[in-house]
Amino acid sequence: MMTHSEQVPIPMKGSAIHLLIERLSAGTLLAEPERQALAEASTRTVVVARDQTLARPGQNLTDCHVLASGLAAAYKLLPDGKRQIVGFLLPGDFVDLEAYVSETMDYSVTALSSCSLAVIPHAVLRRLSADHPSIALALWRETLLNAAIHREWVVNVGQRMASERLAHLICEMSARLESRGLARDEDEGKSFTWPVTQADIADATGMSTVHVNRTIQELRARELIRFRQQEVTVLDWPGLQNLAGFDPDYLLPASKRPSLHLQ
Amino acid sequence: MPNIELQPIRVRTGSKDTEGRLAFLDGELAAVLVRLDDEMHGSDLGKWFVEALFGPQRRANPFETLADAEAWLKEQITPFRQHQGR
Repeated sequence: MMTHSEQVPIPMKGSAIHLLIERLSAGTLLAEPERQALAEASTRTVVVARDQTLARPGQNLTDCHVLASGLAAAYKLLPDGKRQIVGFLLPGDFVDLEAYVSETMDYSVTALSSCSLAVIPHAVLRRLSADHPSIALALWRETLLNAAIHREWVVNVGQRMASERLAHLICEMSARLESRGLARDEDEGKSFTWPVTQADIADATGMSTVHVNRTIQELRARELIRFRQQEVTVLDWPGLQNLAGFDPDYLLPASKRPSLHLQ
Repeated sequence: MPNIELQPIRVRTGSKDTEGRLAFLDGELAAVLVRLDDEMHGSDLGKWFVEALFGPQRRANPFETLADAEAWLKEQITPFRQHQGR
């Protein structure tokens, strides 16, 4: 369970809430009063170590948590102990927004690296949603975006070949991190830190670790990526995107897709 | 107890892992085992991996020896046989 090992005031720029506001606003959708209200929503920050469980099924929550730094994985555990990772959570993502409405979790979340999280009490989020309809709408858009990512993951594990599957996952990680300013431009291509083990990748793609190993080798041999000590460099973005059949439109905020304009 | 017969075969895995065995259970092809010979496998190097499994689909971690893989295969076949009413 989460331990409160540290309490620090939240800086505005670059903080979890700042990243969250930028994502929920999608640039312009939240006006200044809403942005200000959200900036004041978090009551404290918690820091957790790698491998710590952030949430588990059946747990009743009264707070939401927004990842500020690190990487977390949402997963479902099967009765025989097998694990399916159903999503990677990045800085600026809610870890447990579902429990804001349902009050209980139906999946687990674990820290894949040390993580810090901003805490927003459900009561505060309810008040903000009542006072600012555009915040309620932004939270709704957030669940639509998560659903779109989940649909893409179902396609990934159900229909794509091993190399396409891993390529798609790397494209998605790269695109999501880049949109938050968390990818680096290097001479050879876009780079990002991905603190996962091959067992984590296997659990996210429905492959064995042996196949994950061989598939990483294949993508390296085709000079599409470099993957060393949890640092990924995309050497050939068009090549990787083409192999994966990656269309980044599903990652766009729903509000930027004309057919989903709700306002 | 089901009878297991292993037949050496080369397997095209797209990697250095090519040394394999066709595993027949009572004369029926039940699995393809492959030895992990590529150094990229780290601590799994030299172990036997269930590359393909016919019938009930289960996944297994690589096995230290062929005998371990055989024992696991025998366990897998039993519930399948019962289901088939044999």
